[in-house]
Amino acid sequence: MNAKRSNLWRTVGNTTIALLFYSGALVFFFARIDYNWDWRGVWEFRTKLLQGWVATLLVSSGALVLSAAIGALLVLLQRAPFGAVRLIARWYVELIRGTPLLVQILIFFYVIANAVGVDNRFVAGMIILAMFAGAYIGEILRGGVESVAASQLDAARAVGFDAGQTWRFVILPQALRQSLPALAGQFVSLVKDSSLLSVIAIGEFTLNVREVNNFTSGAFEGFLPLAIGYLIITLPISLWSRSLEERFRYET
Amino acid sequence: MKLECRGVRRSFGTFEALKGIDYTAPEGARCIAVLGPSGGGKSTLLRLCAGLDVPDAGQIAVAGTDLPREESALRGYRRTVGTVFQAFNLFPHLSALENIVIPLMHVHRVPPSEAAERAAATLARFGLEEHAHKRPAALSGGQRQRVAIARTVATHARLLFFDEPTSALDPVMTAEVLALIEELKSDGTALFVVSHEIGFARKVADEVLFLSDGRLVEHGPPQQVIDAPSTAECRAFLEKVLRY
Repeated sequence: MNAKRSNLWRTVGNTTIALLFYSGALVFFFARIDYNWDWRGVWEFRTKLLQGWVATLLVSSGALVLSAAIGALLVLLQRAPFGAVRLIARWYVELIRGTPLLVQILIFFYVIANAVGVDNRFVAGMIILAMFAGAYIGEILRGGVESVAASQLDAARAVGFDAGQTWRFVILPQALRQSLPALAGQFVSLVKDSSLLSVIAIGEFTLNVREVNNFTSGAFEGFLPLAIGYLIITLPISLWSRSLEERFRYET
Repeated sequence: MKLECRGVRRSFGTFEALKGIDYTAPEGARCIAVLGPSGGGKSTLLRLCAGLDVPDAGQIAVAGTDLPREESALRGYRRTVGTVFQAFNLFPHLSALENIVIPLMHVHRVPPSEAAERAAATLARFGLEEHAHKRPAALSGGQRQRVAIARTVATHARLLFFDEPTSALDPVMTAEVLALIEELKSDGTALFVVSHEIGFARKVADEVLFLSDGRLVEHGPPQQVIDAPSTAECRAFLEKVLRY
């Protein structure tokens, strides 16, 4: 009981110190630039901010699901029996990882989306983001799958699992456990990368905040809600992945 | 157990692990022990007989049936036997009970409640009931190996393969696991054991194979192969192993 209570006090103390550290830094920097805060503009355009935030949330969550599917598909394609298929998947990963997201957004939107007739900016943006993150997620998952020990595959064969059962009961649980921290990091990146979609005029959070700043000729009142808005989306992803890690923790 | 090897060869790259094994187990040999120096081909022979690998040439027959070479048919054979490895090879993300229940349900099509019952009963029989819900990392080496044996026994396999089952265990745990294997033999399960435990082979095995350099150098009942080896190679090996 006493140990429990002193643990609680330690947590409270540590949290307070960490909070003081960051709020102190914030106060220090803003005090130094001696800025006259004016929150009226931000308040006036609050619905526009909220719309931007919701757009970012929707485009990110759609892209997140789609990117996981693309990543899983890339893992399978890179194990395909046909060399050409493996090469196509391999080159895809290298093309995506080797070029800036901004360039991909421009090429996809103005060339590919035009060519195949995707004229909804929102949908196009979601697909681009998913294709980009999918390449990274594919690599993370591939690493996880390859980390499953040969002796585990032996055991799977010995108990009589077929290929599907081996994936379901042995490879996937172990590979996912292995990939979880990196996957969470990639999903968080995806949310933040969605801000680049503003270049094709998708009314997402960052674009809307910049517009509001322009309307109100406030220099950067909008940036604080912007940062907080992204954190509201990304922090749960981090926390969720931590709790999953805790749940799936096992030693080999 | 009727086991027959005809001209069995297996190479890995340029390394010839088995250079042509011809062997027929005598009628009524229920426990075959394989001895010999490391790298002599013991584990390779076990993997071929357990259906985990396929010979490059030659044929193995178990209970009068040639082992198939094609994967799905071979999987069917593997489902009728059990294999226990040196490193236990339990699934680390599953509890002891789940390690047993999942193969029972999904490979042997045992209904969930019956699978859970059978797994619990097998663990209890091996003195592991209090560990049923622990993951392998929370168990000692001896406990892990007993769970691995329970996993094969619960499937009602009639033939079990043991690949150096005690090489990773301390002497006390080794004794526990060997006692368990001996008990399985008296229950009527056929055993194929690769081991360095000469005392165990002498006491429990009906037939001993001595493999060295990919060849079957000597075979026969333990009184013959262990107590009165006829080849210099086998004699030298036993002298070395039994010196201390």
